[in-house]
Amino acid sequence: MNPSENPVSSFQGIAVSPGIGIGRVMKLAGSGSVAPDRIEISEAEIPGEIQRLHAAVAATERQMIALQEELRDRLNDNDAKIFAFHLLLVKDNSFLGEIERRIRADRCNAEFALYGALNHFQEVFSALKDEYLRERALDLRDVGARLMDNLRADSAVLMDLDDRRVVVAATLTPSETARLDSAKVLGFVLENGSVTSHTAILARSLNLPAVVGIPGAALTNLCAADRVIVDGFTGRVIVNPDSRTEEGYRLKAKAADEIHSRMIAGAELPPETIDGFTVPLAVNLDSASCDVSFLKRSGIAGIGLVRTEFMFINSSRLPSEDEQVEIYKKLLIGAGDLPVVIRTMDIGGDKAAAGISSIFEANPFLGLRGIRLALRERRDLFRTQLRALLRSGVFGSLRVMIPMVTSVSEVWETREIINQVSEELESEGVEHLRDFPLGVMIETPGAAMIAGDLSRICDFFSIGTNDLVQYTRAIDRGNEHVSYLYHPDHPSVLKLIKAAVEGARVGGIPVTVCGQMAADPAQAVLLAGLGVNELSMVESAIPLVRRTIRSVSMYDAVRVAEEALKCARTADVEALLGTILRERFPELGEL
Amino acid sequence: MSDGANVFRTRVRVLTREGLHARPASQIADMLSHHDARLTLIKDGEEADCSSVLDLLVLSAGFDSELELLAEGPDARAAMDEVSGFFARKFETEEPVR
Repeated sequence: MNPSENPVSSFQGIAVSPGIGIGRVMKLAGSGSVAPDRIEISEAEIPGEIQRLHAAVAATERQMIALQEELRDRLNDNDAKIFAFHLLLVKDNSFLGEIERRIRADRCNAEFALYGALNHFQEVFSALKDEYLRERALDLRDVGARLMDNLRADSAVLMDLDDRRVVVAATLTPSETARLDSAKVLGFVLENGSVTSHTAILARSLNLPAVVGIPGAALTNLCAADRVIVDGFTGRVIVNPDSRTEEGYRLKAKAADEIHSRMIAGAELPPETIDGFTVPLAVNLDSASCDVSFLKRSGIAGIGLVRTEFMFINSSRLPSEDEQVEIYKKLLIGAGDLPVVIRTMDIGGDKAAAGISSIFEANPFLGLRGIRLALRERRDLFRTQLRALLRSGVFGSLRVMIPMVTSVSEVWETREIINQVSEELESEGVEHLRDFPLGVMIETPGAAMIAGDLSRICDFFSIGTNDLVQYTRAIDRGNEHVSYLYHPDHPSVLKLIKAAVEGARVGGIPVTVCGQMAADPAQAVLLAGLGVNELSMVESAIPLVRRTIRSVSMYDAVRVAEEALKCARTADVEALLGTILRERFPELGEL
Repeated sequence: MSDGANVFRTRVRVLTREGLHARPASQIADMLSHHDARLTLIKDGEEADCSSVLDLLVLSAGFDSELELLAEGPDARAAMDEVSGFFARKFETEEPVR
């Protein structure tokens, strides 16, 4: 029954998170295109396998009904209909018939049969002329993923991991990534993704190597018996290496660890330029991170971004107000006096809103995303979140920011809801804050251009550079074909950052950058020179950024920024940063 | 097709702009669960088992398409009437079809 090992081979992908991972493979195929392992079964095992399928169907149905019960009060008519549709899909005669047929005809495990059936229907649907109908394939995929999870739940091979593994998948959705037990992960090898995809961000925050852009065909052939090396520095993935190669990589991993600890040395020193300007450094976190004890020892200025969407899209049910209060409270108490900036749910775009929004969008990145979804589609969830935030605010130094703002009225409307729920809490006699500092994410060119007006009605800006680059240069972050255009230091992006900083001065409010750009040492200096007041990044990036800040003068930083704004091309900006920064830090080249 | 007594046929037409999409397909599949009958919708020779929402969607029955409805089994008549009525009432859409 055990799948056999593949021969020695290697693949070149794109390195998106540094580090070296060596270990056996764990394949995830939930919603991805990587096939689950095919396990051949005997004639006698067929009924058992079909029974296993039906047990998984029953379990999936129970979970979906429980979820529906749970959400009963919050569901609108449309949501209820989608639920009803999904419930029919999971026990659909044609769907189950196709899976059973494959178990019998192919003599294979239920997972592999399900995977085949999903692909079959995917093809059938994609041949349909009606776009709406074509896209119902997504519903089937969603239901199929739940079913796959339940089949997996009883399949010992994948769940009882005694050792740490390299996770291999076509795509990992944010919710799949968040469900992984990171203590069991050595690294990631993916077919799809980019430097700014959520898996890459998560991998960097966990200090785990990640490589994307490996052909799906190569991944499909991998199985649990294979050992792989993931080189997150070069993007190389080596399957079943010989012992000499593996030894070489072990040395490389050790050297990387040493460089990392050299960088961390001096963590207690303040992030101050040589001419005495402080650039406060904060960390980005997910709401799931409960352990914030590192804040106290590392001279970090606070939590600059807490993402909250994962608790909405990750769990089988939506978090209640009380549950949210518990989560926010833990973070606020853990951070002590340090400010904690919580971003309200940024759902939509690539953070799929399955079960949250019933609206189908052909172009979700330009659709009901972030504050738009909160105000127009799921005001109920937004109100609950704001109530929970007002209640938690009494436990620490809370600030709240709203994502995807493109107009002043979105800020007004949010303030109005805050006032309403604040009065509600008052009349209920529940302990709460009357108000909190409210910030606006600047992540579209539109928001940067009206920064002056926005600054008069909010308390701070946070520039999300990942989205700002995407919307400024009109490139999908996850699309490898246009990734050659993805440059945070492109002059168009720098000019918009400058516009946001100047706009902030109108209202006299501070500006933080919380995108990937803040974590790049050279670009961090550039941002400080552009007048950004604070940088927020993954914890692992702080030592290097701090060290860089401590080695330059603000005078130099401002000069670099002025020169950069005159450039027409990314290459010119990078040459500028290169000559001024990288020469001083030869070790930057090592990483 | 079985003993004749309980086999019925009729023609139905899709009267909504969106066509036979997920909501009406769900409702049709749901109707069948109350009847001891087997219903088949046929469009251009393609058959769909009415108890399967997947089959119904794959039929891709757009606005104004005409389908044949075939009913068999003890409750065939009642099931057919319910489903064909549902087509005639424009899948009970609240909004008038423009």
